[in-house]
Amino acid sequence: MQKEMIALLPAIRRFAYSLTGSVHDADDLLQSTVERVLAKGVPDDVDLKKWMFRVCKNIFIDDYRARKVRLKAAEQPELREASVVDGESIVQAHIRLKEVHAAMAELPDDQRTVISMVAIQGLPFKEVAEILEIPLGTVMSRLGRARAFLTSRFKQQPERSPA
Amino acid sequence: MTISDEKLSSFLNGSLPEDEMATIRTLLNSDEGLMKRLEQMSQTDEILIKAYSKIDDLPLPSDLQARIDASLHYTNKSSRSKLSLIDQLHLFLKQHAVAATSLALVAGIGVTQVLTTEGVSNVPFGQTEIASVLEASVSGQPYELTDGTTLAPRLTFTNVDGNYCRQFNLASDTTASQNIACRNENEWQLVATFYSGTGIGEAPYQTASGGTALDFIIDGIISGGPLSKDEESIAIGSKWNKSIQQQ
Repeated sequence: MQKEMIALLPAIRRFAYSLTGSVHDADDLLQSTVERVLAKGVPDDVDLKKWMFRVCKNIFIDDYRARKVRLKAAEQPELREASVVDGESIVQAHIRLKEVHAAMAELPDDQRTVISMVAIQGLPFKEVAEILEIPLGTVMSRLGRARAFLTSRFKQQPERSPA
Repeated sequence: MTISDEKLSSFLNGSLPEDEMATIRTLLNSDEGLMKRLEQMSQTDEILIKAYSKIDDLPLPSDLQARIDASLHYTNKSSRSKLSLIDQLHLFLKQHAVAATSLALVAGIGVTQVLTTEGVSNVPFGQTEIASVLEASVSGQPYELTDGTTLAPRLTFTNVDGNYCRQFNLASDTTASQNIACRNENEWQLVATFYSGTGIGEAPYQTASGGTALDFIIDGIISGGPLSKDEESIAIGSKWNKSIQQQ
């Protein structure tokens, strides 16, 4: 299981990042996910990948509900991700990241989770439905609403051209 | 015809029934507004991927990597130790696809049948002469039992449960075997026997890797390396009592 888990870390980390909007929080969430999976084990009838995504999502939601912090992560200057970007247009990229995080943070948890899994991770609907234990139709409707909302937000704030 | 966001989103993923996919494809040819919505939705995905893939370029913080490594290492050790010795042996047999016809796994509380060179004994292993020799004799030299059998302790190690184990060979004129016994609840218990030949004079069974037949089992249950000669002598001197050794 160890090798498989290690191979999954980048995907879980990216998922955690899309949920939290903060590299620091994403790494905390990744660590919590690994520890939880190792401590509780994986049911025989569930594959590790699906289980890790589910655990990650659950920890995020539990944590979010407990602390009400992550929703505002993108709005807090101290949590911005200047270190994530580099190269020629740090400022422009920073603004784009901030916008993306802010828009994602406005989504309800259930929609954010689905769009993270489908759009960012590229998981098939069926797999997402199994991970989240929801009907396929629910995956499609949440995804549709999330995409529509984000699309409208990104239209309002078109991507800047490099100076 | 109005296409909902949900439908368009599912179309983007190619997840609609084929007839609905075909309908939307047809509409896209004539409905510029629909095409624009689709493009914008697609661009939204690209923006998300671009934004959140940036974390892939960042290495895991070293302290986080260390904590994860430690968690994985700790869990590996502890999960192995949760298995009983017999379960570990069976697991390794299964994993290594070893022909079990010549290998006997006899571990378990209450198992009193002891495989000796003379056949099956009803005497508990812990009360046999073999156990007495294992209790008090160092590895590397042969000991002759009263029935003429030669017992040769080969090495001593600690298993993942923290118990001492010894690998030893038994040989008589008619039979030869390699064995593992582990000390549990203050007595030696035989956990594995591999019949390696018909008796003295036959070359001992060797695996392809050059080890003995039971080496792969030892690899699966050993914690750390074999005890050194000095460590083994200390263990014997303390009657295998670790608390005495630490004093």
